[in-house]
Amino acid sequence: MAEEKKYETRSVKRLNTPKLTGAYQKKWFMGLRERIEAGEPFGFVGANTPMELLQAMDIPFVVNQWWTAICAAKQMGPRFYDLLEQAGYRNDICSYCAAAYACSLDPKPEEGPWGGLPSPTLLICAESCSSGVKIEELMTEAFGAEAFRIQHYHQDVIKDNWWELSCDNWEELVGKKRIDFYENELRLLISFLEQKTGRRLDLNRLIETLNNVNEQEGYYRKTRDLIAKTVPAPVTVTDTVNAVMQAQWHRGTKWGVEMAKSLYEEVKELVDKGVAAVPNEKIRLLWIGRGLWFNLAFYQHFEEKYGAAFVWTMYLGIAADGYIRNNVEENPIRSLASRFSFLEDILHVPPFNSQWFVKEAKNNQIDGVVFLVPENCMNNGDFSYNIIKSLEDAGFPVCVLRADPADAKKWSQENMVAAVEELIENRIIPKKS
Amino acid sequence: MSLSGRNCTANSSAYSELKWAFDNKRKAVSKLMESGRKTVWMMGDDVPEEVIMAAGMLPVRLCGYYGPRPNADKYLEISFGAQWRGLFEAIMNDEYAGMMDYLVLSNSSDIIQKLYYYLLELKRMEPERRLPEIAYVDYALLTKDYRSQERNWSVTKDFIAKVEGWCGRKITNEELTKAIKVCNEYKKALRAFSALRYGKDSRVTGSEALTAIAGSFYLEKERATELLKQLTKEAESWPKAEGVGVFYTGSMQETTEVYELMEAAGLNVISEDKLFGDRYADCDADPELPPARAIASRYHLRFPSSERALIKERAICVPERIKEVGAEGMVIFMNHNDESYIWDFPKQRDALKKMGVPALMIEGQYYPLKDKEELSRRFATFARTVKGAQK
Repeated sequence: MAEEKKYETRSVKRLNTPKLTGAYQKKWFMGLRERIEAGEPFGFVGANTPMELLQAMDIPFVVNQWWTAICAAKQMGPRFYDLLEQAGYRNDICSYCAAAYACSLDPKPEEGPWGGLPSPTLLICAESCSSGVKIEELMTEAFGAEAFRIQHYHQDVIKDNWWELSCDNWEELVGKKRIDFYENELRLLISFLEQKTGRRLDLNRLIETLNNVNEQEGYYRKTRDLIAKTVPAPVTVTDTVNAVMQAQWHRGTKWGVEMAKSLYEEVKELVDKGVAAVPNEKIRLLWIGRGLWFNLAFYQHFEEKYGAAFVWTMYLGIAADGYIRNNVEENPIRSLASRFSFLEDILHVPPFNSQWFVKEAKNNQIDGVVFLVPENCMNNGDFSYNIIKSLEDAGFPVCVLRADPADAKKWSQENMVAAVEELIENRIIPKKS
Repeated sequence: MSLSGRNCTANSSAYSELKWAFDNKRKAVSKLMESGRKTVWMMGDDVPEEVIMAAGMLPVRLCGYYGPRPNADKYLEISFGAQWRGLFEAIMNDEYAGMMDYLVLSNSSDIIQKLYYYLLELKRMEPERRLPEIAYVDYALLTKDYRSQERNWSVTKDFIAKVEGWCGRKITNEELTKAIKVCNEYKKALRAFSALRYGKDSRVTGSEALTAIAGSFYLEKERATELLKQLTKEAESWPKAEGVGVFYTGSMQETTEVYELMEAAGLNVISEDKLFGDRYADCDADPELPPARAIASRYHLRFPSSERALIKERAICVPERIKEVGAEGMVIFMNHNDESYIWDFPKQRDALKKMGVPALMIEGQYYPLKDKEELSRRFATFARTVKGAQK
């Protein structure tokens, strides 16, 4: 049941890097608009597509999930989802994927975040769920864009501890057949981009981009490791989540590397000075699921009362473990194929997801896990039973929140706070004492 | 008034045999297994059963379990709709214990792919369950371009190799050709039977058709073909089926419950785009092509399903199909979280509006049905709407 908002949704910013990335993204978006208005192509891509190609080809683009997060953070989700209902769809499903399509239905698009989303000319989609594919099709039509759909191919090689293989032995991790398939898909995508934009992919530039990605993600790895081993933690997820994600959408740029480095150095400085984000830290929590972009303050809600700090989300975690592919020079397209063929599996395919969450919970000295399960997402199916069981068996109590991470209207602060408090009071505190 | 249980069906030995198989799937499969063949169970619309037959193995269509579903409730998220939960339960509970040698899932829905991963993991986590060996047929079904066609050839070849591993020998082209012929004959018989459902003079009710079509899945193909031919001859002189003829889409119905509710409310399903129904027989494997390519093409070219098709394609094909079968209305019936059809609907509705064909969309359904009275009321209102539109 939706409730009238009577709680703080903005988190307290403790670091400088998120302020830099936040300020930059608005400035960058305005610059992007100018480029598009000057007639440049404009790509709209899914988070699970190889945006590095567009980066290397200097094709302006935005990421679907980034835009959804911006709409949510600006508290504009409810407005857009109501537009879907008015157009004959529904306002209560697929909110994470449908925000941009909803924007296309807005009679006053300029009233959207930062003047609204410009109309993309190109859509790059990865075949996802039945609804996701249809939403992308509707968007393509609404924006008058041209679409390239990257076909999906299932993973039939199940390897334990994938993170031990992903950087250097990715052929072994993903399997030849699947990488061959994705490499071919990427080559088709490159041809599509070259044909539609008149720009060419310079492989030297791609290698530079991919090396930048490795450097950027390398800093995230160091940051993650630093937070993991430092008690009390120097920062919490509210400090890192925006800093990481805003720069991740510019993955492969010098700016992205700088911001990742800046985040690491800030965190390192805090560690060196012995500064704690939650000085009375008694409990460390891990968040599984999409970020609560409309209510980042939620993560800080438990700090004062319980000394409970959310120290981990998938955003920094996956940046640290999911992207790095060494030896890109040998075949840059193949290395990129290995990244994108496997990226979704990290979160959605057992046992890749469950093993990784357990590993991260151990390394981050976690006391309990909060697992957000979106009930209005038909693509939600990560074998959460297995994730919960694996975590619980490893000694990490789990609390499940069933909620929509994109639509503030449906959020029940009271119920969600109560659920996390129940976890802390009844399962974590008794265990620790 | 319900149209089920008409005298004409009661007097038909062919219908009785098909209905027996439909009502007693476990027994029917046990009977088939008396031949000693290994069973290959199929989940999803697009497992090439021709290959299984060519290998001398027994393809068995997995039907959902309609009873308590504790395993689905335990292991599956709420995003799995009622039909998927039933299929999962049928694998996990004792219904078919010891009867599954192999299980093949196809890429007919993203949910099936998830179930594939879940089952693989359950095999690792709970080896004591003795789940069968599991395989996946990853056809590209969203588009019918050459890229998908090429992949589908390759997937078919891989599947043939996989089944050869199971049966321990090479499958010859002659065996594949023979299996294609048997399946094509069977589908031809199904189409001839289904033709009696179409138009205003429909001779077969939706629930009778569902019973006969799905019942035939659990018989030897040759026997099923024989029975369907006999049934078709008989049904030509059956009394006209009452009710407004509608096209059904949405969550697949594996039991007759919803169709019967519709019939009682004055509607009659005369066609559907579902495997348990007309979609099974929509497309033959071309006997002129080399067999592996013919099989790939049969799955590549079939009627677009909502789970694996673009809106624009369905916005053309569904109204065309409705016109072809002479349906006077369309019913979209969706289980909770099996609701991707919502994104299809406005464009289909617009196209149907131009044809003067009303549509009814029902969302958020569960198994067991939560409010049959409300459903009946909505079906009856829709039947009146369609009749009104005709005037």
